[in-house]
Amino acid sequence: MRWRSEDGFTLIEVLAAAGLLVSAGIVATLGAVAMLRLERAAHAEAVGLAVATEKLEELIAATPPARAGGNDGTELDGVPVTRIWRVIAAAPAPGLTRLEVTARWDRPRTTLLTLVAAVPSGAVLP
Amino acid sequence: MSRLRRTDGFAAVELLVASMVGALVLVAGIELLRVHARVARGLQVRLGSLGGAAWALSVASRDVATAGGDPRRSGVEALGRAEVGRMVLGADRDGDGGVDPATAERVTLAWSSSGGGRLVRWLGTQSTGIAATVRSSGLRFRFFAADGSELTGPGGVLDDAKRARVRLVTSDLEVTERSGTMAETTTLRGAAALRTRIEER
Repeated sequence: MRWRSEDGFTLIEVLAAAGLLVSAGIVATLGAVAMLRLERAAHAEAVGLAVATEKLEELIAATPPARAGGNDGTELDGVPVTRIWRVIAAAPAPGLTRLEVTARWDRPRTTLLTLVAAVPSGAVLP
Repeated sequence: MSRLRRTDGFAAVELLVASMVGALVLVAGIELLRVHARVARGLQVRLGSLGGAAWALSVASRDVATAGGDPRRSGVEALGRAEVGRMVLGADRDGDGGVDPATAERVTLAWSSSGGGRLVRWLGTQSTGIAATVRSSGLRFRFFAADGSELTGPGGVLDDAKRARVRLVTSDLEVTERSGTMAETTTLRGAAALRTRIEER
């Protein structure tokens, strides 16, 4: 019986076993690298969402005449983010103003995130 | 008989070489496992830190956004206190015309030294930590007027007149997550406009 043989292993068998072990090591390492990359992407997305939300809230808090489009660059927790925002009057309907903030960051990969809100163009209450 | 199938045992040199190769493979395998374990633990700590900060800021931002709810128009104060490390928010959630300080109508967000430093949220008189570990300088509230100017006061405390002008609150939060000797710090920012004040202008 093969599993009770006293002849030892052939060179091919040893090479095949070593190859399997190395393959398993490579697969595990690739998996770990992919996880690290995903974690960096998740971190960058959390930062991008935070700075985009910050600008959107700034626009919401501003008085209607003070709202204007623009762009800037900011950095949070080591992630540089570029922001572009637009203020579109009478959209999506008369009496409303559409606010759009797009955040872009390039690490670990170029990503764009756009947040949109609609706010009253003027006073709501009498 | 072939060299690979002989039955007369191994020479000492063959045994030594085989032992060395086996030891190398074993050491490499163990090191790989250690590296993977370290990477996995590091990931867990970093994600814990990031998730903790993001969640706490989402809670704080929602509290700010809903502060000042005043269905009876009885003059509820949205911001009871506004300091760099402490904020008291009020809202008439049950529509009885006032803010009951013993209930969730009054929300306090502040840094606490307990447990090594935490961001604590009080709902009335009940408190719970929503982020840890947070250094004393790891929590910073900033207050802005409608024109975008930052409102500050002596010792970081806003007086009544300035509190009445606040339209936007930002929260800078630095959360450190630890596991054994590993520590990861995440700094995030939350922001929220005081919706009720915007409606009234």
